[in-house]
Amino acid sequence: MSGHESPGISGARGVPGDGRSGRRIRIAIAGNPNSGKSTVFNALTGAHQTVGNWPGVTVERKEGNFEYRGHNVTVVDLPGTYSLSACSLDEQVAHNYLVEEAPDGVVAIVDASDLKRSLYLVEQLLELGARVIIDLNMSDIARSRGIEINAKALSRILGVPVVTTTASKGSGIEELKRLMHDLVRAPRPAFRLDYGEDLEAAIARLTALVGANVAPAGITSRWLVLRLLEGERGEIHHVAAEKRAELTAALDETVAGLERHWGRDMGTMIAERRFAFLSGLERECVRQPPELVGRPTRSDRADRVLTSNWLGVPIFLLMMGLAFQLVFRIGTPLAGLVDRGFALLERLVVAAQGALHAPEWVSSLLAHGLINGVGSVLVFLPNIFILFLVIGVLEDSGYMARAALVMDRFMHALGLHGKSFIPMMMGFGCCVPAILACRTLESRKDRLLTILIVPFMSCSARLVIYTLFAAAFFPRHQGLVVFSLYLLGILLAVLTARIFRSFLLREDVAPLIIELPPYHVPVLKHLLRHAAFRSGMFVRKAGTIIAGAAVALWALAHLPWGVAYASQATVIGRVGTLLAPVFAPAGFGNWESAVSLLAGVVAKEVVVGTLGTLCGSGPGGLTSALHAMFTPVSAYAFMAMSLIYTPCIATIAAIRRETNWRWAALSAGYSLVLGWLVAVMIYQLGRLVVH
Amino acid sequence: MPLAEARVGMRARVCEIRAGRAIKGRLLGLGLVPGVEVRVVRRTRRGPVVVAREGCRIVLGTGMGERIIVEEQLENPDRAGPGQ
Repeated sequence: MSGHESPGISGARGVPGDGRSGRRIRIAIAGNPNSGKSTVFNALTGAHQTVGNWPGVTVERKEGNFEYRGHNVTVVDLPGTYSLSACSLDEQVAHNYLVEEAPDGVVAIVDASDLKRSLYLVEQLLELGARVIIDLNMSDIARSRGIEINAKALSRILGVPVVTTTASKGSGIEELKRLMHDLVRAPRPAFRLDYGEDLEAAIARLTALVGANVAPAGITSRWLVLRLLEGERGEIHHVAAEKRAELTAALDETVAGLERHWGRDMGTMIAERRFAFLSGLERECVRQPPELVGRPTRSDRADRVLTSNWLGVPIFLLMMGLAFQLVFRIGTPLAGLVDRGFALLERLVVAAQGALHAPEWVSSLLAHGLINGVGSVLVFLPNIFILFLVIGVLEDSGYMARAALVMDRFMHALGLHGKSFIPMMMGFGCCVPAILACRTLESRKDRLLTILIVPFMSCSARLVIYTLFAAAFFPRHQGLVVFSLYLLGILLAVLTARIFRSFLLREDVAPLIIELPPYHVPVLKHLLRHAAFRSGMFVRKAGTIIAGAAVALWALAHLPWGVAYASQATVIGRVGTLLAPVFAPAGFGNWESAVSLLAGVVAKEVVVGTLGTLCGSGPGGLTSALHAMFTPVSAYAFMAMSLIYTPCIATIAAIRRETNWRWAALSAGYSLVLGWLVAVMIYQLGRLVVH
Repeated sequence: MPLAEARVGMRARVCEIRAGRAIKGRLLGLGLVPGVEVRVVRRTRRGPVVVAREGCRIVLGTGMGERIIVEEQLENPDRAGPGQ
């Protein structure tokens, strides 16, 4: 076979194998989730890595590089996948990268403890025509089970280099680097799986029909035909346009004929043939002492407790409670520090204005508008950072998969996915990271649904409002009142899930199908790097929007020139007066409430701040002012409204980023209407009961 | 029998998977194809089932247990794969 038949493989970056100094070599790392892929990636690239997102999707993309003999090798960490079919977002990303960007080669991480499943992916890589190095990762599990693998035999049968590494100890990494460096000069793999007489005949017939010229140059027509047979009909765009109709007809006929002949579907048949081959390969290459086969591992013993039928749920709730304690016990004092920092900054700006004789509106814009507005959101950064750290621990330790398992049945009854529980729990802290956490859901509809219900979880910002009103109106039942609002939020989330599931997102819940990875001790360095990246995104995206909104609000509370700041005569005061009658049926038809709700869209705790500015000259004054404006019933209605109505801008922005404007608008509009309805209902019913 | 009715600890051979292409694809990736032998690790009434296939533990969420048809394997002479 000729090794360099596809000049497109490295594009304009140079001819493969010319060994010219400084040429960039691009190699992807592929492997199953939890196969030790990131450990190998870290061992290869050390600190030279960047984290970003794959274009257009919210799957994280890690890239790094290392120097080897004067060559710069770029390593792209593909999302962990079990196959290259396009079932999940991760698989699509991996597949598109390999086909469209055609890296110079692929390092396939193979977990020695489950060779067959790991090789299922390798087999697909080879079929795609990629130059592959197999990195046999000797995990602790494989070792403890006494598994031995004949790497030579594996290399001979598949026709690719095999290197054994223990990435955690760094052994085998130098050899892997050498193989990666040499890979561009290696010929294309000659591997070809025999699918059996009937299927091979069909493949030959269809391949002839496709012809030789498929684009891009990195793929082969045999691979394309197999993809089409597996049902990935979208791949037909690789074929010349004039042949497509004929090919589709031939495909339909072939698939129907063979399925009738076998009595089972094509996809299963192809997978079965692959697994049959891999089983044979496994028999050939793997040795394991019979007494160690099927012996329960340490993870199994831990799971007997952690996921047991009786203790699984209580332990999960305990873990979540603990996570919350961490987020708030450690995060809140730090948040206080940030808050004081911003207050200091504000005072500095005002002082500087005095010293520099700058116009007063400049310092007011900076201090009251920008610093105050942005500060009130960035205050939550410590909580969010710790939240991400805690989630990182849950993810990396392997517990997250168990949480989904123990909650699956309950969530299923609600029309939600087992994994939806995690974003919902996080929503009690802050909805922004909670919405980002919905990425872990594979099915688009499950993801959308979870994103829509997350804002009904009472986040820590709403707690600020509850605390103020509960203390003012229900001093003897504060805890109960606040708790009832948390319950109301959950109830509405469940109701919303039901409504949207039956109208807009009609589809059965995608069943939870996940692997329980063995438990790991997380690595602190990776946890910190990850949490920093995720919270950095929060600062950038939320910060820009909030800054704009804060300035706008400031301007509206000042204009027109000459009227008192934040009085009824200002633009915002007039808007409040205009809106107030809308809220009259809910019992709070005063302009101050309307303005504070409007301002609360910037961030929900701004509701309290605005009320303070508008009608309270000091904390004691605010309470008595509130008593003049609200009755206990209308106060409760107002709290319910604050919980339910349009989520804050940061949340809407997060929803937009994870979905699109239409869903963000739907979420904002739906919750506004729902909030109004619930508030009116509470006030009207409450009045009947009280009087 | 459906996997949902298998008892914990049972060795079972997968006979049939009644599901759409997307779900089947995910199961295939995890090595669950007809012919493969699994051990039932955890099962709850009408809840998820956990099976062990060689080294890996796979969660099959609520509702999946009814869609996977298995037969009990009484003898288990060696760990040879399903073959053909």
